[in-house]
Amino acid sequence: MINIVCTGKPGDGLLRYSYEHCCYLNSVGIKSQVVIIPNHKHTKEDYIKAIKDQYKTYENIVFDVYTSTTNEITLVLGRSMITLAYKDRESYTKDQLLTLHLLFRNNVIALYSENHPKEYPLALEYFNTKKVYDLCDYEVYPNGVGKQYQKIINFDVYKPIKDDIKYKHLFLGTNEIYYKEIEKVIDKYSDYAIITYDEKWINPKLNNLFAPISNILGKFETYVYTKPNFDPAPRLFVEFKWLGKNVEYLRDKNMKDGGMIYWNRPVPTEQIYSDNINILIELIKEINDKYKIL
Amino acid sequence: MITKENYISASFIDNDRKNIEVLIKDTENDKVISHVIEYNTEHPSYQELLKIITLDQLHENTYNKIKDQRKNFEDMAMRIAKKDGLVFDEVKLNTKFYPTLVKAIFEDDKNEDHLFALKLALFELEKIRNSKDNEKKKKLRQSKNKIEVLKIAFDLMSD
Repeated sequence: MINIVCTGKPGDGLLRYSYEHCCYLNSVGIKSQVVIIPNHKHTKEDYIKAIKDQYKTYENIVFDVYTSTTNEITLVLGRSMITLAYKDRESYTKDQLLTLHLLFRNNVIALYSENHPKEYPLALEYFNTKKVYDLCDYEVYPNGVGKQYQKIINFDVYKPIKDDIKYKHLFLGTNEIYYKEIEKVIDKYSDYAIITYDEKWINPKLNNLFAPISNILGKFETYVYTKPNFDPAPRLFVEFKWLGKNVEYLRDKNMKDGGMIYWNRPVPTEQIYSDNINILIELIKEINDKYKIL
Repeated sequence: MITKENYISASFIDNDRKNIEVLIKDTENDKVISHVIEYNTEHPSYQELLKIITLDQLHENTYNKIKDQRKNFEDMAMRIAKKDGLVFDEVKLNTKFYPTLVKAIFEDDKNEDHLFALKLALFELEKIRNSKDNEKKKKLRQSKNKIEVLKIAFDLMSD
């Protein structure tokens, strides 16, 4: 069993990358599941809605309680899934914490990221992780470690997008930093919506839509990409490009992150997706062979 | 007088870092002499010391000395604690450990933190963790006191 752990929020790209990986691995006969430990500000239902809204299926997802055996592999689509679990450890129930300890005690495959460089080693020490096998997108993280691997969207599992345009421009303001950046430019737009959460830092005078939102891709004509800080693996503009919709790249083009790199990558095809994920599959086989797991 | 020839080491001896202990060699009597001087840039002894080490080195020496003292203290405390059976010596199981073990199990039976630590430790055992009896493992996770946890653990271990 491959346990793909998600400790992020329901609006995060990592939840989606996790579920898409789970679907693909199961489709090629590698038994996998997503183990979600909800962020304390969100409920299970938020995650269920996020998945059901976006994908054709809702399966192989467990919440909070799972007792993994020692030879199961844990996969995280970003190191932050481990670091967040460590940082939030006081907010979890004992059952959630036991699940996390058992999962992160095993062999872990982790996609390299640099969100919490100080806490990451502390998190590994805390969970007493057996061994970490790193995967890394070196174009995004030139100083990373591990085998080359890209996070690619698995469009095969998407629900058909219903064209139901409600607004011209979409802005993503799911945290305070993104939101503040949007506020600098929003007066130039009239027909728009900002996808955000009901937090104290939002401006109620603006047109806010609270995530998760059904059929989000069908409701807008153009996505305005404004993220001011490091974005390792953007999804929304890739989705808009895949649908043949417009994207405005409204941020510093010299930023060295996934923004320009994903902008210049082709829209993923089935072949591109399987070539890439085969790197992960080979690694899983390698670990299973090493530990003689049937 | 502090010279390069008789200097051994120097470090601050108080939290306010106002006094410095300088260890110097007394070659005639083959002894080490502790010499306390004031941290005062005008003071001749301090000026002598500054010809041998920098202020940064003095702070670093102080940090290292405190670290060493702490480690020595901790090592000594652990030795005494192990000798008296106050802590568990993983290398040499002391019989004095058993009263502590019994106390830990039968007293404060529902302490949540202890219960969690016990469950986690038991799931570290491969036989329990990899047991096919999911029902018993579920019960172990859900147990509300240490005795119940241990009963199921013994059961799983003897399967």
